[in-house]
This record gives sequence, C-alpha cells and structure tokens, in this order.
Amino acid sequence: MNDSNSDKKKTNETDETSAKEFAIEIVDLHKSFKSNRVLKGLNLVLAKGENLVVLGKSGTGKSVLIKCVVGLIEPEEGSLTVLGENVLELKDKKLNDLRKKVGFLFQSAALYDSMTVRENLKFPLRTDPSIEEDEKEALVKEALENVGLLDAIDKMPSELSGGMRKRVGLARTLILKPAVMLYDEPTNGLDPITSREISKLITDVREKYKTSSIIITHDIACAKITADRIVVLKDGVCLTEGTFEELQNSEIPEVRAYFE
Amino acid sequence: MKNNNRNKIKLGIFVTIGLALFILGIYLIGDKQKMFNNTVTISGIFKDVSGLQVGNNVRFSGITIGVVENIEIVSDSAVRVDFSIDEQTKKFIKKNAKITIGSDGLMGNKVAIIIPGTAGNKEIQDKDFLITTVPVSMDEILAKLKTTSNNAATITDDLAAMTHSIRSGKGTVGKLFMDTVFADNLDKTLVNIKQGAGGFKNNMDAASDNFLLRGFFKKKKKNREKDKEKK
Amino acid sequence: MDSSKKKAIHEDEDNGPWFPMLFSFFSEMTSLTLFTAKYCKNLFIPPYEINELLKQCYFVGYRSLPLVGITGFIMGLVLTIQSRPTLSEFGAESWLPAMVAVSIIREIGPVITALICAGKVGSGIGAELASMRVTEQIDAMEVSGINPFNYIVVTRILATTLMLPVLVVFSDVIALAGSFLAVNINGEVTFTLFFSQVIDSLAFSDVFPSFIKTFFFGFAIGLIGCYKGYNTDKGTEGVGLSANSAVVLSSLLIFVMDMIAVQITDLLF
Repeated sequence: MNDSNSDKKKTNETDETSAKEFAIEIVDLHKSFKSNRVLKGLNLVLAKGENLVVLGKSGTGKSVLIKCVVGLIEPEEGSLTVLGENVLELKDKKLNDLRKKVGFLFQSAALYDSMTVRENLKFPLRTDPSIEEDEKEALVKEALENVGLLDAIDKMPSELSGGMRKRVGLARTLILKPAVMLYDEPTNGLDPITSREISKLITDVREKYKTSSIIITHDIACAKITADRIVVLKDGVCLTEGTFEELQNSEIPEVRAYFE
Repeated sequence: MKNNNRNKIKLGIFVTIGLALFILGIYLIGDKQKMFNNTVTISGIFKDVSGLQVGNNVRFSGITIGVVENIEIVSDSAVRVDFSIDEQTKKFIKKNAKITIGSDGLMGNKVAIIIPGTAGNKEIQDKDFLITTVPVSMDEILAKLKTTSNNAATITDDLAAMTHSIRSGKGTVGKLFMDTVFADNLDKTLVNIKQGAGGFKNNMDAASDNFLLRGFFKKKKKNREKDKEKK
Repeated sequence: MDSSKKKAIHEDEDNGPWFPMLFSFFSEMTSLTLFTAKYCKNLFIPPYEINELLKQCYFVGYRSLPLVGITGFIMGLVLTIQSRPTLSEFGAESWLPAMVAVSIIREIGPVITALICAGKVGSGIGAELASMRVTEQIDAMEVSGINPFNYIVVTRILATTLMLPVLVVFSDVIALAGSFLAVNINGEVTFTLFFSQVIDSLAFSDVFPSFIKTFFFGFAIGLIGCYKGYNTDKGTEGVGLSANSAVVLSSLLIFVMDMIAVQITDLLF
C-alpha cells in the first residue's frame, strides 16, 4: 500500500519529465472480469525507442494489459499514461487522435474480410481529408513494401496465409506511422521460420519508424530476437524483469521454465 | 472501384423502381377517390344516413359518379351530407331528382343513390340541395309492424263481438246460422238440386249412345288412351 | 459448514431456473435499450459513412430482391387459390381480387417480407458482426481511430430501415401479379378488371399504416442483428449463436410490432 502511494507521488512529481522519457507508463493497474481478477496492481514502464517483451502464460492478463493501453478495456483502478496523455480521462475525439499514434497488431491480424488488401490498408486513412487519393496509394505501397508484400495488394484476406496476414496487419498499423507499437502474440500460430521473419520485421520496424514497442508473447525465440528488455508476468503482477541474458540465468523457476 | 459503381447504379435502379411503384399505387388509389377533376357539390338533408361514410360512392343509374364528401349533424333530426359529383353528369340530374341511401350488395358498403328526376325540369347547379327519400331502416320496419299488430288487435276484437252476436242469432247472418227452419229449407233445396243433376246425367248418357254423337265420344276416349300410353 | 453449503444449494433450487432467466432477460433489455439509444445518438454524429451505407443498402435491398420476389409471387398465388373455395361458397368469387389485395397490402406482404429478410439479412448481419468481433476486426477499427459503431452498426441499421419498405413494395406488386395468375387459373378475369378491382378495394388507410410499419420492421431486423453480432462474446461458437438468436428475436419482434401496429391503426383509422 505504502509502496504504491509513494509511487503515485513520484509520478505526479515527474509528470513533465516522464512524458518525454517514457512512451508508456502504467501504475497500479487493476482489472477483473466478474470474480476473476486478471490484473492486480501492475506497474510497467516503456522507454522511448525500446522494444519491451512481456512474457507470461495464457491467462495472466497480457492481452488485457495492452488493450487497456489503447482504451479498448477500461481498468477499474490505476493510471495509464501514453505519450504524455492520461488514457483514462480522454474522450472520444482525443482518444481517437491518440489511438492513431498507437499501432496495434492483433493476434489474428484482424484484417477486414470484406475488403482487399489495398482497401484494408487505406481504411485507417479514410477519415483524414488532408491526404489526397494519390498520396494514399503511395502510402499503401510504401507500407506493403516495408513488409515485403507489394504483390498481394489486390488480394482478399482469405487468399493470404497466416504469416502474410500478420504482415498485412502490420502494414495496416504502420500506415499511420505510429510512435508506439503494441504486438499481441505476433508469432502465435506460425511456423518457426515465419515466426523468425516476423520477429525480424518487428526489429526492422523499430529501425524504420523509430517506434517504441510492447511485444506480448510466450515464444522465447521471438523474445530473443526482438527484446531489449523482458518483463515476466505472473498472476497479474510483474514477477521479474531484465535483458534476455539476465533472465536466461535467472533462478526463479517460473522464468527458467521458458528456457527449458 | 468499378464494381462498386456498378452496384451503386443497380441500387439506384432498384430504389427508383420501388419508389415509382409506390407513388404510382398511391396515385391510383388517390385517383380513385378523386376520380373527377371537375366536380360539383350537391347536398341533401337526411334524417338518418344508416351508416353512410365519407368516401362512399354516389351512384346514378348504377354508375359511380361521385363520392360522399362530408357528413355533419345539423340538428337533432337532420344530418347534412355533401356529395361531390362529376360535372359532366350534372346535365342528367334534374332539380327534382331524389337521393336515397342503399347498400352495395347484401353485405357491401353503403352507397348514395340518385334517382333521376323527370324530364323538363332544370338541371341541378353547384351547391344545390336535393330532395331526399328516407331509406328504409329496421326501426321503421319495426314501427310499421307495431301499427299492423295494433290494427290486428282491433280487428280480432270486432271479430269476437261479431261471432258473439251471430251465436245469439242477432242480425241477418245470425238468423242464417241459428234459425232451424231456414236450415230445413236449405236441406230440401239441396235434395232438389241433387235430383235435377241426376236427370241431367241420364240425358247425357242417352246423348252418348245416340249415333249422331257417338263418333265424337269415341274419338275422345281414344285420345285419352293414347295419352295414358305416352305416360 | 456442511449444512450451510447444503442450505445454499437448496436456496438455489428454490429459486429455480426462473431467477437467472428473469435476471438475464432484464439485463438483456437494458443493454438493448442502451444499444438503441447509442444508435439514435450516433445517427446524428459524424462521420457519416455514406459509401458504406450505400454498400449495405445494395446488399440488403438489391441482393434480397430475388428471394423476396419469389416468396411474394408464391404468396399471392397460394393465398388466391386457397381463398377461392371459401369465397365461392358464398358466391362471392368476384370479391377474390379485392380480398387478396387487401390482405396482401395490409398484412401479409409486410410481415412475410420482413420475416424473410429477418432470416436472410438479420442472420447475415448477426454472423458477420459476430465474426468481426471474434476476429478482433471491430477492435482493430476502434484502435485505428475509426468509430466502428458508426461504420458498422449505424450503416447497417439504416440500410435495413430504408430498404425493407422498398422490398415490401416490390413484394406487394409481385404478389398481386401472382394473384392475378391464380385468378386466371380457374376462370377468366381480364387484367383491367383485376386491376380496377384491386385499386377499388384499397384506400389510403390500407396503404399508409402498412407502409409505415415496414420501416419499423426493417429497423428491428437491423437493430437485433447488429446488437446480437456486436455484443457476441463466446468466441467462434458465438458466431452461430448470434446469427441464430438474431433471427429468432427479430422475427418475434416483428410480430409484436405488428400487433402494436394493428392496435394503433385501429385507433387512428
């Protein structure tokens, strides 16, 4: 109790500076679904330009965590600061503006089934009247080129393989040139080779778009490629954190389990 | 994109046809109710309209020539009904034409019926009032039935008095029935008539045996047998 | 400890299945009302998704026309053939076109068309939205800064609300064509006579109430389809469940609305 209180004070004092240093700051986050408490006072910080991997077993609230970050799920308690703005206090318009700066790659890629790849990519741009049609086309091509799928531009999502769908999904989030990327199990359901390609792509994205990212995964191979820092979740709180090498030598049995 | 535009055109055609059909339907139904562009209004005062409604047809010689436009109660025993009728039929309706209310078939709607006036009268004008004849209503039939039964009661009363006086032998008829001497006379007369008829029969038999008339009677007999065979 | 547990179980049994059922019914009603309120609010909030609306109108209206046309035609045909014996018993066969026209325009056209659309469009919307929800497409729209409610829900409800009346007009006309054919199977009635009998038998008070109620039927189909699809929560299984309950609930709602409409029509006309 005391600890979290002092934490809060600290964040209040350093609000100005944290906005510059941190892309995301999560303090004492609580969320439960009916009687099931998923997040129990989670604290997490994402520095600018950092690739943070969040490891955890299924049901430890990893997905809930990043859905809270973009305001898809409303937590019961705690504070959430993304790019210097308090997500929980933002209303429709401002929340949408913030969301455009935060890219979110869904587990299932979430491509719009009824649209071609081109229309899928243009979709996030549609509300922006300042961009001309030609410009949109150029942006679509650029984003697709960055994920290496330019020739799939006129295909329907149902014609794409799992890995291609993930890449198109990634291209769709990148088209808005986000400052923060959230990846929800990017390698889930893919073969090891495709997984590695996607993981490499995540590091490429950081280079090209200068993003800070949170990568939710339980795939240790992916974590090895992408992670600057790894946080391990257990029972709705942070168990431990460190670089890949640090965790590899960790003595905690839950952490060791990932490396065996 | 091209596909998209084609779909839009299809949708446009679809909606346009749908709306056109709807408007056409509305127009036709409205047209029926206001079929006549140039109309004249005539009115009639009724005691009872027996369920006539605004919008009911007006018939003249069995042809629908207009509609009931308005119905309003003007006093405790008068209902004013305005009819809007086709101007072209005006010339056939004379000033002494009558309006009555009938119904369209056994269970059909009420209709106003204009009974043509007699030739030589002037034709009606706009805003004229026509003579109305009262439609026969059930109440009236009942009222008539009541007077009939009242009359019947008086008749039976008289009849009872009459039979009473007959029985007591008063008056001519009473004598006729009650006087025994008269009855005897009548009996004798009947016997006489019977005897007279018997004599006539003998005469006739004799005639049929007579050779002059035999052929006629035989022919008659033959014809009768032929008819029997046919049956 | 043991006895209290038993007691608890006992209490549950006492309440029977009624309590949870009632609870879920009322909570469902609340969320449906809120959903409707949100629709009404978002209807007037930009962005107005005109292109998506037209696309949905195309799917709901134009694509349903063949189905609605065929059912309408059969409806008119069958109704006429079935009514003939009864009417001819009264010697009122000449009333056939009038009777069929009134029953088609007033009741059967709107209700059958609405039910067919509830089956075709309602289930389609329910399943589509549910699968969008399950595969996180709705979430994806939301995080890319697009209001998914305006884009998905408002357009679909508006499309069904606007397109159903048009479909009913087509269905009515086609049903009357079917009736004309049926009248001509036994006996000859010229088109002109049939047409004038139909028009003669109809009044504005037949056409307008039934036209107005079709808007509500369309609204019900879209609303229930979207509500069930948008709020699905049981994964892939929920897709089928949403489609199913969308059809059931919207069909039921159509009948309830029809009942209310009859009462109102009775009062006003």
